[in-house]
Amino acid sequence: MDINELKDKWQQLSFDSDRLAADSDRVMSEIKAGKIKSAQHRLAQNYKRNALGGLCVTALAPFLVTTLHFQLWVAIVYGLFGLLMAALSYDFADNIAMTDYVSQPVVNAMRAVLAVRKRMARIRAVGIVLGCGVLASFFGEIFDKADSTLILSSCIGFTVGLVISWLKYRHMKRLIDELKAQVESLAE
Amino acid sequence: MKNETGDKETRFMTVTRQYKEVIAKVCYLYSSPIASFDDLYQEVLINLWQGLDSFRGEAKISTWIYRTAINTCITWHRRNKRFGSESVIKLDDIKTDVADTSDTSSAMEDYRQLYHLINMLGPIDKALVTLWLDEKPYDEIAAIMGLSAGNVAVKMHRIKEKLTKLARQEA
Repeated sequence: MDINELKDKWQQLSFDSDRLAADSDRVMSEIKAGKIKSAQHRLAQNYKRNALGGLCVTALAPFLVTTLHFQLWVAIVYGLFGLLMAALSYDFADNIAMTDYVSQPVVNAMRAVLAVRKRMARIRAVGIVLGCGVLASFFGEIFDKADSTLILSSCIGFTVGLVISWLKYRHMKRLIDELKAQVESLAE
Repeated sequence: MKNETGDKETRFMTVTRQYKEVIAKVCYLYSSPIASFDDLYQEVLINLWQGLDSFRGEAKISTWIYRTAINTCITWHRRNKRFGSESVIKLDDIKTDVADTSDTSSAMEDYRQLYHLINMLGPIDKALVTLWLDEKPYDEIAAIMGLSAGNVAVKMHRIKEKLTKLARQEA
């Protein structure tokens, strides 16, 4: 098939009009019922939930002292970490919700998506690095207490969390690199 | 408030009915095992609804529609898969203007080839080809893509060469 044939075939292509019209009607009624949201909206909501999770982490800080008898500074570090991640996540969620990249020229939209993804990666990196620091202080306390169950479960939880975070970060970095390559190729 | 929502709904339905073929073609090209046609089509409609209030007519409405459809599909595409893999194209909803029904299966095979060829391109090249196939002039393609007309011309030349080469290899 040569280029001109390709174009002719494309011009002949059409779709089931009734089905497409029915899809528009269905989407309209689901939008009105609040049943469906865009992927961008869902991403923003996801980060708002993360922010709530950060606040829950902070709320648990007093229990480290009262129940587990950790030192006060460990609880403070833990609480501040939760607050910081909550603030970063909420700010990011707000940023996503307010950004209209979909109706921009494609190149601008890709640059905006690249900026969003880079910010996501930075938040994740900050979370991993600071999280490791907070957990290091945790482990100091746990090993002091010499509770083998607590030590084992903490080590397992830390390892699993670190592996998952690292895999997600690597996946995100690959997407960013691909997107960056595409944006750069547009300038050629 | 109710009147404004009603007006928006009317505008939405008018726009989506008028441009449904355009949206459908873009979604079919970008559909994949992970991002189905239905998912993409729905997502584009949702984004059109959300963008309708902020569309002030600075660009042509067709330009806005193409941008929304392509950006939706490209960003969905990026979130969920590597590019370069084959899209799963369901041909059930495709019609052909071929008059002779005995040629219908041959036409369907041609569409398979068409999608196979276009899906060998990256997401941006695919967008450029889609617009060119819809006979958009280079300056309009440039407005949709956010490139200069000269840049579009150079890229289209390269894409056409690549498609010709791929078509020969496939044949």
